[in-house]
Amino acid sequence: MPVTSVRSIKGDGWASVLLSSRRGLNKLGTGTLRPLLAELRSCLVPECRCLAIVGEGGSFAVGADLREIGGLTPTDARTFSDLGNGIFRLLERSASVVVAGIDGFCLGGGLDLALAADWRMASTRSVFGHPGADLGLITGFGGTQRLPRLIGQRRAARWLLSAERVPAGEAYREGFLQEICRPEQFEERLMSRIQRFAAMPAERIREVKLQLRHGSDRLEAGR
Amino acid sequence: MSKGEVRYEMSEGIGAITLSRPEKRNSLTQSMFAQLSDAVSQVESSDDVRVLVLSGQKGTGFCAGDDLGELVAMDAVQAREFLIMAQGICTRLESLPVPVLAAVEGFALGGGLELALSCDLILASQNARLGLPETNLGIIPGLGGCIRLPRRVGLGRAREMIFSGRIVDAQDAFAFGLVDAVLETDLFEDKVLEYARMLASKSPVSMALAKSTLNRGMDASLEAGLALEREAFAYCFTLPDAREGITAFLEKRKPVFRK
Repeated sequence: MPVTSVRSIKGDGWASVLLSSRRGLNKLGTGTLRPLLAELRSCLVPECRCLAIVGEGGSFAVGADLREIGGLTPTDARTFSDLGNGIFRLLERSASVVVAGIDGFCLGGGLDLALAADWRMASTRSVFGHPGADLGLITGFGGTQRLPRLIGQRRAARWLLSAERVPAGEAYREGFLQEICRPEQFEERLMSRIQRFAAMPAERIREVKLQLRHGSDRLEAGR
Repeated sequence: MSKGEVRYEMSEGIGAITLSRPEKRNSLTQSMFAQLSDAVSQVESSDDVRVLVLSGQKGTGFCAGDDLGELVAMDAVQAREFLIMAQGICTRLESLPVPVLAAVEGFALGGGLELALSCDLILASQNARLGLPETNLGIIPGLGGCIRLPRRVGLGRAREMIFSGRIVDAQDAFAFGLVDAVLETDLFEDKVLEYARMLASKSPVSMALAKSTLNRGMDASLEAGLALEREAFAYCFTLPDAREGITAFLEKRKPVFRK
């Protein structure tokens, strides 16, 4: 079973973590999440002002590995959920602007991963969705919490209850994506976005991220 | 008078509650709330319902709000009692373990829109008109409009709709996320049924847990919400739906979820 592999490229003030797999369907199984966590930790040094996560070969990530998921006991499921949530918490609390670069399928756990980023940009050929309702599951990686906070409860309910595939244009209009571009421009636009964030002063990034995170939950506490 | 103004039917896993007081655009009397309560009780006690559709009788609009004749005769104590009863019904709709669709054709105003806001999704016909005009009457929305509308469309939009009492058409409502789909007026019933059937084919476990985790999580902090989600996710693995859903996916066939 080919595992989705994780590697990184580091530049001046930025790092890019790349997911790739033989058939292009990047899966977030335990065998990928553990090295992903290690790679992210190594990239998230204080000088890193922008961290990008990018899926190669036609998908950002298509979700969990269902062969693995199918054998989970409830206790394993909780551990698996904690592993993912640990990664997302690390991204949210980091002092870098986290960019999800999406060119292709962004489904299930892949969508949850994108939700933990600060900036989501996608090519127009990308497709989004949460197939849990067709699998007898709900997501365990935060989608039921972060999606309604991002796009509103009603839209999130539609994405999650119907398990529909949402095209990039619609995801952009509904407020899921901050940026959308044609597939042939994708790499160039992503790189220029990364470099713009990498040029920002570190203390400003830290401050804005902190305020956004605290302010979104409680108005009084956020003031 | 009274009986038969709120009808409940169930077939093929799809429950349907229909408001039927055509001469008053289905505006809600206290007696209708009592009938609505009975209908919701039937859904609560049924093992077979997988989706609930709430609509007005065909061609008469969804619901024009509370019956103003009854409302104007109330004092503060009676108004409070009325709202405790009516809000309770909205909360029960929201808490049902199955997805609830509001099928809004024509007017959904005041209490009518608030009833729709207690549903998970609002499907509107092209001729739908939605609004909370209470401020034009010297009152405010009382069935949760001030609370649920901003959760759905954001505080700014909710303020604008409630202060102005403006009635918005289906396209506008769709553009800012108040309704989830705009469907052709002529084919409305069929399209709603098609959507309901699609949801009825999903895992009832996923529906119930996604719904409660979404609703409860929005009132919690992100951390508390994530803990709710993790426990609900783990709970899926004690039930047969996950086995069926994942096996079907790996075998490249459509899953069959039973209730």
